[in-house]
Amino acid sequence: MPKGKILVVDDEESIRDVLQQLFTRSGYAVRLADSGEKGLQIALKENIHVIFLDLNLPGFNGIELCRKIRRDRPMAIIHAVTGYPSIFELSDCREAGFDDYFTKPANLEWLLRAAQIAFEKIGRWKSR
Amino acid sequence: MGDRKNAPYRILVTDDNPVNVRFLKILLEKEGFHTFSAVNGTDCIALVQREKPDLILLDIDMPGITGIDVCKALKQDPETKDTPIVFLTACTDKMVLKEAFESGGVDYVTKPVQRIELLARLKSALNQKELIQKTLSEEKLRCVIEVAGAICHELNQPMMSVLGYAELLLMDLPHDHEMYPNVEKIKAQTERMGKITRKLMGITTYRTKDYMGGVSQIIDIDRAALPG
Repeated sequence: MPKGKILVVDDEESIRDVLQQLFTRSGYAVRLADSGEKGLQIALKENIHVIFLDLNLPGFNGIELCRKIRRDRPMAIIHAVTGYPSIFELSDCREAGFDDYFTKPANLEWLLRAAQIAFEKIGRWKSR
Repeated sequence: MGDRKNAPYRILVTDDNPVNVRFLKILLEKEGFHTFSAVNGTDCIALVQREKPDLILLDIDMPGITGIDVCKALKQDPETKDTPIVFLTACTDKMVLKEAFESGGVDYVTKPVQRIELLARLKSALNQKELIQKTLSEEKLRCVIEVAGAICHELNQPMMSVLGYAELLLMDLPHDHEMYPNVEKIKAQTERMGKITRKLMGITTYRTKDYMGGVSQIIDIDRAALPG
């Protein structure tokens, strides 16, 4: 039984692969998407609450995707992972609803820790 | 100009009449300009190529190669095309003046030369040159920043993958495995590359430093990425 389900949206295949391996071996179920549209579909259909989004995505970008997910899933914990921090300011990301922000190349231990904290929060919120 | 801020501007005076040359040199040197001179078009072209003056004061009506021909020749040479040329002329024929501007001159002063008018026109031409240089240098900086940002973005993606795969390997390998230290080095060097791209993305100025003991100049990323 996986510890929880994580959605990774990134248009770079090797980054999706790395994050899938990281989270899978840490006991999480992982869903992957390579575009904003696919990411939104999976997030809403599968009710996923812990999400890692690249900001520079084909179709609608990570900021728009975050806003759309946040509208229907207000309790989701959404992390931005970007290789191009100058496109959006940190304040734009916070305003769009991102809970945290990582710049590439990001250490896997930070991302794993972020996922663990996110699931701890969700668990706490559910048991209140 | 930028790299010799406190030195006087260097003006090349060209006139076939040595009396005019002497008069103009005295007038300009009194005002703090550094001057040198030529008395025909051929010498003028050779001096411009060798001495790179900040401005040329050029008589139109010279025997042999006229001032307008000299101007055309200098404007065709990439090395000299940006040197501003102010014509000297006793002629007020509008067609000649039209041709002078079309050849690439930025202004003209009529003979007999009036000191105040000459200085005002020189100052205006030199200011215009500096403004153009400043605009070009800002454009160069903007290009550097945009190119640096685009390159960093492209590099950050594969770097994240390399770093990630190295970290996954470290999770798999026992600490005493013979490959463990090498994978740790891959991780450390990739993190180092990440720090470099972060600095590049913070570039705000265009500054260079000596490379290979001054053989060449390269962009100084540390100084260029400093705030302000």
